[in-house]
Amino acid sequence: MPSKAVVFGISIVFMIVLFISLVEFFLPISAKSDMDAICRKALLKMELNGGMTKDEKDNLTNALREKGFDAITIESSENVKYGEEISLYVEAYYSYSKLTNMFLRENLGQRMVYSRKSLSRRILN
Amino acid sequence: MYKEKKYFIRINNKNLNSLKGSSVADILIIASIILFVFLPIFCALMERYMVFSKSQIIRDAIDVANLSLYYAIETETLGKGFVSFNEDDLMQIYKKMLSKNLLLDAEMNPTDNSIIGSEVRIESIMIYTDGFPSVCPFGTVITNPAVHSYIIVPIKPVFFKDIISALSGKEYTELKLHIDSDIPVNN
Repeated sequence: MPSKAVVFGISIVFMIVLFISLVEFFLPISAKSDMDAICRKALLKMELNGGMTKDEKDNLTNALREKGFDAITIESSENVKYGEEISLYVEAYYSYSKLTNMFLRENLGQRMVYSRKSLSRRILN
Repeated sequence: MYKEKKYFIRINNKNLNSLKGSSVADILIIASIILFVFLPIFCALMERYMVFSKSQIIRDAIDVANLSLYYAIETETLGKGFVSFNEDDLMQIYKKMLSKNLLLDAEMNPTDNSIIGSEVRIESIMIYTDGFPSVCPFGTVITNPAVHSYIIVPIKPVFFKDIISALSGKEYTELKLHIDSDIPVNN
């Protein structure tokens, strides 16, 4: 009977560790969805304004930082005329803690990129 | 007949009793649960989530392509109080923006690093400029100038590639995406 308890205990611990590590696979995917949503909003503003100002770049950087991104690089078009192409390229690192072993957590980083092109709707008089 | 059945149950009970307390059996049961129940369910969930994430990225690209059709508006007609489009430009602009954002070539086939599996098919693009309220083929009520598009996008499955292709007869999962985007005519 004691051997059964030990086996049961070890099995429970193993299943919990497995469950946690599997759930943690979703973390970077969820972060990428957040990044896409934030960058999408910025791109819509760019379409209206014909590009991205320095303030808007700072706002985008702060919004991404709040979601846990760092080493953020933003390349965007500026002062684009009506009907011309605008582009937004955002590269950032997402750092997160992940269970890599039975009882070991490590900080991992993943590079994520958002790259989209659209057309400007800004009418210059 | 009845006696035989009783005897059979008795033997089974005896066998079960002899297994009581076997840790090896417990380990086997738990390992089987993990291997045949836990992991497949997780993989199926993960697959669904990845398809959902990919569909969000593709929807975003289709929405951008829809909005880009704004550039095909004939500006001369705007002052007369209605919206009309240059139909020659429509498909050209649409394909250009879609292929740039989804990393496709001119034939709408995926290039390197594209999340798309095979050729993207544009099934329909409809532009609503008057006669509101109107209803798109998928039932969405349209009250403003808008673009309706319906696109079939094949994507590569991550897990269960063989099972999916055996069940569906196709190498890729086909996402049928329908997007209606309002055209921003007042900015």
